[in-house]
Amino acid sequence: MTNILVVADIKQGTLKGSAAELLSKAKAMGAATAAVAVGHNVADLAPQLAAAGSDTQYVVDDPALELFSAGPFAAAVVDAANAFAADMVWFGFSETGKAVAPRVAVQLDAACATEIIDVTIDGDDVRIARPAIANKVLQKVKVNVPKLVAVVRSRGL
Amino acid sequence: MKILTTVKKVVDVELNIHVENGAIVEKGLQYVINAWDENAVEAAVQLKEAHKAETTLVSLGSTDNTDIIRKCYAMGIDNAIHIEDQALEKADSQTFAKVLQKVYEAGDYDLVITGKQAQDTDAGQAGIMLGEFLGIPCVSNVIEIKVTDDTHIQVSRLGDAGTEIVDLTLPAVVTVSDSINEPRLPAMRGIMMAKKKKITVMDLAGLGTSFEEVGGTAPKSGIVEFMAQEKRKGGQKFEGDPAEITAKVVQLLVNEAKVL
Repeated sequence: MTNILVVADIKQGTLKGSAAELLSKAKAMGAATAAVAVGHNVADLAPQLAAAGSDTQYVVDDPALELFSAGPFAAAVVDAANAFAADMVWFGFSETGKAVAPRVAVQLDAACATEIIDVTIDGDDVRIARPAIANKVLQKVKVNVPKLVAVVRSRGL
Repeated sequence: MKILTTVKKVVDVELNIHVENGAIVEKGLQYVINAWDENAVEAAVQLKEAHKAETTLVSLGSTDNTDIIRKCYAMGIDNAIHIEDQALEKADSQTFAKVLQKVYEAGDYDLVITGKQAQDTDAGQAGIMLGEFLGIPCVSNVIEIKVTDDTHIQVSRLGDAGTEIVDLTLPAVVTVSDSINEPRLPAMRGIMMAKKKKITVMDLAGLGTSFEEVGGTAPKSGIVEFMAQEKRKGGQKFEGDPAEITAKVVQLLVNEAKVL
């Protein structure tokens, strides 16, 4: 079974809709799911993440995370990914996701893909689809390593 | 201050792109400097003019990038390096970042400025990964760079909650948004002088590395095929009795769109 960790998009303490959307897709693919909330005063979001479809919830709550900084945010996500033994880490489509995903991919020695609109898992064969060249074409990409970090377009999957 | 900036030669996205048999049709394509990299070059030249920085440009690729490098010279860049190696034709973002790491380490730079993404891949990864590989601070999507002193800069970035102000200790990497500036049109004198300037060209071996060492022979992902984007279907317009229309639309949402 694939383990998928969803990174919660949080705006001013409120969970954005992308977490539920991504968890729903992960569940539909038959994956074991976890969600991680990173920030300050975000502990209360754990029940919402459970209700949104995550089997496991991680909360990294620290006053130092009140203002976004990509380095500490990435470290928190990597810790959660390792704790969950995540095969995939999914970010919602946001500036936070775009800033953090490449760092997480380097630290996890994972493949990285941004703006994906589809992912398929067939045994060890993992493929994604994403637009490229200013949205004029679609790329189909094969993932060659066991781990994938992805930024997912809203309503993309 | 020594600044390294990066430029990539990319397909001109203003032209029509055609796909056949899973590949981009090369016929009719034109190649230009990546628009965000042009913003990076402009940012570097502005720092040079305001703070007497030394600016070096590096361009990676398997093609002749002389035209875009000359354009950057005409904009005011001091030095240019072209890593020209056929192996880079199929390199992914991580491999490009590893090559840039080698260039950085050979040059003792204080600041790296890259475009936030390339308009061919739209990936937005290489600059951030470069910072990660180097273990130095990196801020992405930057819209302003201010020099605080010889070892510090302050940058503004567009984040999810608005504009974020970040103090950075050099050396550092920043990736810039197209909101940071309006790239200048080179003056005729600059264009003429650019023709005489030397471009340092080397392959990966000349850089002291190999395609294997930078991860190119074992890419973490690879493009299998390209597909044309499906054209968006036209919408439907409903007129008549509101109750009948509502029932019909709900029926379509349930049975055709399957969103309810």
